[in-house]
Amino acid sequence: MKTEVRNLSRIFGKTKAVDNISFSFEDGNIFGFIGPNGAGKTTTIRIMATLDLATSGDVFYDGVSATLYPEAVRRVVGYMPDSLPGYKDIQVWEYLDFFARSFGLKGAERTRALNDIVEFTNLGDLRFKFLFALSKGMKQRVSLARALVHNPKVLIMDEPAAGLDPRARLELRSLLKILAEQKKAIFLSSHILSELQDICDGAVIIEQGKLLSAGTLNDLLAQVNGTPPPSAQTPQAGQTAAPADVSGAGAASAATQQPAAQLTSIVIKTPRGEAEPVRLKLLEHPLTHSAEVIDDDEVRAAVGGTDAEVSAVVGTVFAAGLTVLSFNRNQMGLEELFMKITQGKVS
Amino acid sequence: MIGQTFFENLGESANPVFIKEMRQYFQNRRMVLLMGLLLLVEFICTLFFSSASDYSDDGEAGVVFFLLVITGGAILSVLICSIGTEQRFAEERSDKELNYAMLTILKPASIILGKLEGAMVMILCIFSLLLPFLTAAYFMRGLSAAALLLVLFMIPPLVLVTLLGILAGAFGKRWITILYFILLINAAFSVVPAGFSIAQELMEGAALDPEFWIGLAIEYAVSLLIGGLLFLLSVAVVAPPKSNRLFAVKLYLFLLPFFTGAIMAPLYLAFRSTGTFTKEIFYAVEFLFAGGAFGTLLLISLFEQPTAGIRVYTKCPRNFFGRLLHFIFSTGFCGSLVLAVPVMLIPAAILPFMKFSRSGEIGAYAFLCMMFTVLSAVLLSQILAWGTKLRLAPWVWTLIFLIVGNAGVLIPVIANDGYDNISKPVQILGMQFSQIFTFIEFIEDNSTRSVIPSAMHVSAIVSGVLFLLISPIFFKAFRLHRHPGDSDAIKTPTAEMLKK
Repeated sequence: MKTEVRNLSRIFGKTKAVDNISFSFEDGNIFGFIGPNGAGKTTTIRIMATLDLATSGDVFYDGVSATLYPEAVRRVVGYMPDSLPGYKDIQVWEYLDFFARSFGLKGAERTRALNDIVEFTNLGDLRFKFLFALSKGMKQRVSLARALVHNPKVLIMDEPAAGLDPRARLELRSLLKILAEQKKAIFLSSHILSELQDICDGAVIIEQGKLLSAGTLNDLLAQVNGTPPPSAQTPQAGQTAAPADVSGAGAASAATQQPAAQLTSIVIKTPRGEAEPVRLKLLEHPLTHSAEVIDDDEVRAAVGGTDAEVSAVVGTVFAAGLTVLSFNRNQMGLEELFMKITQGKVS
Repeated sequence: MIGQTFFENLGESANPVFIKEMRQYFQNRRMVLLMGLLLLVEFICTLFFSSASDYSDDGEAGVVFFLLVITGGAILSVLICSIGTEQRFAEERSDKELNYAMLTILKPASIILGKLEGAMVMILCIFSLLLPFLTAAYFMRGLSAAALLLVLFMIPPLVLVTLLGILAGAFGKRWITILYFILLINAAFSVVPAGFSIAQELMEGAALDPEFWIGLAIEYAVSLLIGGLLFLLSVAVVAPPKSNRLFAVKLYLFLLPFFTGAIMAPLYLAFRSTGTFTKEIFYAVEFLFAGGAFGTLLLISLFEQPTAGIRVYTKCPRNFFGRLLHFIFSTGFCGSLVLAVPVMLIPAAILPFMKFSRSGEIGAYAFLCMMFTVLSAVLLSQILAWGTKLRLAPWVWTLIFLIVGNAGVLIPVIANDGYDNISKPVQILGMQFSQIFTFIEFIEDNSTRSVIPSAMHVSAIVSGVLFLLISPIFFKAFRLHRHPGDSDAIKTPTAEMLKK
């Protein structure tokens, strides 16, 4: 199933919460939705889940408009909000049963669906517990079960990991991976970028309601470094171009692509006062992504490429009579990416 | 878990909200405690009344005990079904649980209906629990079978109070909850004592005669009409944002006078031979609803007028009749304004007509119409003030109300030389404020002639203050419908937009 957000805008009075954003993604992948507080993430997610109406633009699920056919869309979309189940006088099983009934599941079909979802979310021991007696992590699992009870093809999650302890986060992460393997499209917003980094195949970054960047993690990194990859077609805000396909424009999923985001950080000792000429020399090398002077006798360079290519670069450094102080094979994280792309502004 | 087994066996076609509500009711400790408490109190009362020789000897024990039992049942019904539902619904709104229910394929009407069904079953359960005590009351003497059936009169008000609770809960706002409680407290101090005294009076001569059935039928018919409006308003409040979400409310209001006629006419035809169901009663109810319905339509239109929006501008038909229909039904426009104003004037116009055509006697229905029109006008003037940004201080509006409202209710009394010419229905209307009667009786004059006008005077003040408190609910409700696409056009007055 292809999910397309097309030229979406939402205005509250004089505030443009979402400003003409477009992107798309397909099933079988997990996509992060990143932005500072007040960037318009929850508003976008609410519109995608049919909880709110766009001022202009629309969201399409396999071409079906969320504005015109919200009932049809609700059958294929599961929404897990940032709030937890709040009923007091109801048990877990009854709560899920209510939503299963509300989705029109009847008799044996409903019982089967409930049993499956309880087993998947590991709620078996809690089914006859009252909701108020559950911990936050347990409630989060109930919330996930509620969103999945009608077996949706697209799962939209708003801050699913917020407030969870490390164990609960690990559990959630493994559940999401299983769902992605079941060919569900998962779209989730989170502030815990390190969490997203481990599970996401791609990301959409917004700030002040405007789309800043969208694509696979590799595409985003390449954009930050000024080398736009052929697969990414991220429109600038205000354009009415086709939505940026964050799943890699229909190519193989991001998980199977070469990890171009992997960089090696090399800190080089230079003679005093010669850091700048060395930095410029390093930048001339085709594998150097970036280089910066960190002291008048030290330069740090980020070098991409395979192990052999990086070794060749290090060899060149030694050949020039310079000393390598540190050598770090690392991957640019989402946090770093996020900090580079956004400016921390809110609308 | 008896309840659970029972509800598991309910048909698959049952409303999911109803099933959830029943589970919540039966698993709520407070509710179980309250029910237990009621049973205990009733049991103690039974022991007391069956052993108190004073009561048994003069044959009043049955009557008093019966009133106590049904009053207890009514109070518990209000606590559990109206206040309980309001609280739970408001929590569902604030916890966003309602949002998740709206993400299923449930319709907003199903959600409200499910809650109403649940509350109705609970009322039934409460009164079923009281059946043994009602039977005991019958055996205590002094109670006829007809008097026992008076309990049927209690059901419509309980349904309406429950619907009011659902409507208040649907907003999910604390200040609406406060208003709702103010209303309940006011009702407790005015309607309950009056109802109690009316019930006692009726029970003395209760008989299953035509008057009994006419009264019952009219009460049910009127409650059905008001309940329909409360139901549709609740549905509109919980409905997801979309254009014209108030359409059903507007259509209902527009058709309300016709519904009233359709319900009342058969009753009139069936009972006119008895001489109890007069034309005046028929007209009174009809005009009361006509005035109220069109007044509310006008009220909605006032909210819509300043923020018509570009959507309406582009869709509004250019021909006269098309535009007239648009006026009436389209949300986001000055819908119904054109139609409502003259219709609002009709009840007021009836008053002088009656004055001259009946040699000075004012019919009860004309009086009711006028009172309602005056109150509507005052309410509308407040709404108009909000709608047109003419923001006068609240005390100014209160003062305007006091002057207009008091003048309005006193005119017919003065014109007819006091109490003697006011017919029975008006006196009954005044009984709602029986405790104020007593107070005024004490401080002014012991004569009935002066008590009634003064009481009506006070009733106008109380009603006006209540309307003043309620009007923000309408203000909030009728602004909810606005389509996001209209926000760009908010500052453009509709009239200017149409000129373009």
